[in-house]
Amino acid sequence: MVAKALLKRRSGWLAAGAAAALLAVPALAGAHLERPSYWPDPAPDTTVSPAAGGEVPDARSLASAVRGKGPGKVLVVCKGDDAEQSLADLRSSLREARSKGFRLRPSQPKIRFSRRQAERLLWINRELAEDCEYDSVQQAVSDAGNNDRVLIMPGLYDEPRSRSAPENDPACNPGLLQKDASGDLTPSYEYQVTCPNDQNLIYVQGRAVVGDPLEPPLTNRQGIPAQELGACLRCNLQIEGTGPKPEDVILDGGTDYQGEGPQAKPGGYAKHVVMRVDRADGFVGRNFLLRGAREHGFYNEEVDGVLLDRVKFFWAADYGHLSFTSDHNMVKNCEGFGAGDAVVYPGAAPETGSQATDFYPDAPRANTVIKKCDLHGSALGYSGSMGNAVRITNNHIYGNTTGIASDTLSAAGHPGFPADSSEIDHNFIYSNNLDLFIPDPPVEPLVPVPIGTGILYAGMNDARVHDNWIFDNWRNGTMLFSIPDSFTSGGGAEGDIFPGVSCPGAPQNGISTSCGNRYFNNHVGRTPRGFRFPDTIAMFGNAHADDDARRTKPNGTDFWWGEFFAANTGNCWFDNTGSDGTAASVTGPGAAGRLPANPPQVLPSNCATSLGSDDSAKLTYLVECGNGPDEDTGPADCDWWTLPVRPGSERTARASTPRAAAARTLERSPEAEEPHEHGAGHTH
Amino acid sequence: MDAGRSSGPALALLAAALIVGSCGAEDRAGGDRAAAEGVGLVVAGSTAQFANCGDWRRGTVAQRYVTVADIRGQLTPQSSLTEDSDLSDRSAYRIFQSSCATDGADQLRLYKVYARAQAFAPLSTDAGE
Repeated sequence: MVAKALLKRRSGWLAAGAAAALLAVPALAGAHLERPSYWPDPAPDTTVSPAAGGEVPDARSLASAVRGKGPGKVLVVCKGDDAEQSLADLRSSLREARSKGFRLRPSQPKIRFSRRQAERLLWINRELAEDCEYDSVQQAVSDAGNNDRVLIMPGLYDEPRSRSAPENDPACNPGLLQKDASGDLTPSYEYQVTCPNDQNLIYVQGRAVVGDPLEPPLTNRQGIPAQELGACLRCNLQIEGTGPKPEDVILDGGTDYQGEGPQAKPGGYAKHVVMRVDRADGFVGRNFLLRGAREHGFYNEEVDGVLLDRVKFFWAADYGHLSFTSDHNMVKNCEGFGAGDAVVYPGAAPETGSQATDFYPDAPRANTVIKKCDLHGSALGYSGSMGNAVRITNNHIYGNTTGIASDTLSAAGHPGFPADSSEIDHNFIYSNNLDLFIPDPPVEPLVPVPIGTGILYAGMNDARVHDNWIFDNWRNGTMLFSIPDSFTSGGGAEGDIFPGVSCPGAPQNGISTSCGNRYFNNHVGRTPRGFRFPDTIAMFGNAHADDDARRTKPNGTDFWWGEFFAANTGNCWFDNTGSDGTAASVTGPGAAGRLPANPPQVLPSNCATSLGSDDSAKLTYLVECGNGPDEDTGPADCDWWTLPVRPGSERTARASTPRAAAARTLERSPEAEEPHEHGAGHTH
Repeated sequence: MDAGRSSGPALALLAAALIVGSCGAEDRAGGDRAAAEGVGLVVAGSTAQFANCGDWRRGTVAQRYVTVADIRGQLTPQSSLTEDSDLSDRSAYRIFQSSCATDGADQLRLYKVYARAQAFAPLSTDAGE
């Protein structure tokens, strides 16, 4: 009810604070708590051969593992005596791959194995079976060294020995906790090394422990401090499933499953993280499923060089995949669902974009690429706080509450303020209408995010959103708004702010975000020719347009823009086409939720002259949304927590009338002018 | 590295004690002056990571204030020497009460809610009460 109250207040300053704060809502989707973390040196580590890091590693072929060629040794993990159970599972999967085929991602055609392919994979596995010495993935990883490979034959690996390891182990807790500047504690790197299965089902220690972490941490997070950077122990490690598809090797951290099969939902969790990869440069993970985590399915931190290929993330309560302060990072051919936050989350990504320094001599470049993935059935398909220079390309992102959220809110521990240089291109982003704000939701949301939204940038600079198909998101295809600096956290940015912030006058004027973002060559409110929804579009009751040949499938608004401050320059939209295939049908910058925006509601197409226009209705709307979910449904109340009316229906038109009246009342009031002055006047 | 030297938990308890001391009947209803931990799963001596709305509802008033102080400490930047926030613990308490009252909120993580509210605090009329 905040917005209603505002209409009655003489003082309008609350509006500005709440509005800017409200912008924090989606942004904070990405927040998580972790040890003080540093970006690794982006140069290859030549103390091992071949060098580790410096680029996204190449995966070695499965066949090469049985040819006996190095570098490194091959450690085989299997199920049953002489791998009999694994081989039986393999034969079953191969029969299905031959007769029915399988989908690597729900949006893609089936893959059907030829007889020759099946025979070859069976032969490889028989060869591996002869060398199988492990029934535990963790045990094999612990015995592995630089350049080694851990090959996991088909089966479900729930790692009983890891599960029995105590949590908050007195051997590590509290002795190996480290303090931040104000004395708060987090598990240190040495904690994870010494008690690897305290939190993790499978832990990959990349480097030796040397020295203690710096207390307090350095403000410059470029480079892991030398005093705690040990030599490579497991650099260039490759962990790979040997079945025809990822679901053949399940690394399982769940308990009390409801139902059968790889998609079954866990009733509880044995560990926080299924697989954690820590400072292990040059890591490759391929062809397995990570399932059932109290926090994250896969988690890599302070790693230079990561490739995840053909990996699935099911039912992680927080993030399916979380990469943090990592470089030369790629996730491809993946699928995930059931995340209470995001399926994929690259957070605190290195400053290889607008704010790059000579620490990154080859900048600007993307440091993280997410491609050819299906991210669905979650609160968020993708999110990333301080997701600098991340490229999201050629994915299908659908059936989430919000498809993509990237933000600049500085929850503690996320260096890299402000976020910049995100690139979202050549994706299919559709039908993100999943309502999880209901009793007994099928996926328990950990964060409140707006239902019906394709892409949400809360404080981003210099992004490029282009050549995407964005349709059937019932609230907004995309959203862009500013986060004034004073609202990024209780204590300002984490770590140093590097030069190159794109907003003119920043940081002195307090507006460092939402400048220089460009949206172009996108198809909005319309499907590609011949498009059909994947079978998983209705997962968990997700609402979507009819699955028919009609290409018009509108978004609520194609491009929603906050239009806040005059200091928000360089945001522009051009060469996009709308629901009828022409530029004329593109909609934006959109109404303020239940309130219409100020006229003229024209999206700037000229990047050189674009600046914010101080839309009071939108500020007020965001104020109300900042209070989070509630039961209020009046014309001036936030509408993020209920499923929007399907675009284009008669109900949509009827619903807009009282909202328009409320907005006009607000826009004529004295308070309407004050939020902008207040929000723009704050600095760190 | 020496947790014994950390002032975080001690300060959290002190803060809780001070706040609870002013809570009157609410405190007596909670009835747990000796609460040593916040609500939710304890990890590394803190419940900030996992405390959710379901935990919040089940906690006593004293445990809830310990949780608020714990989260406040975790959500100031790691290089900050203080744990000050523009959001008062009392306001945070009220926000959690409100946020946790809606459908589907059981698993909402309190620290994620707090971070949003903290962002709101600099300009809120009552955040510093």
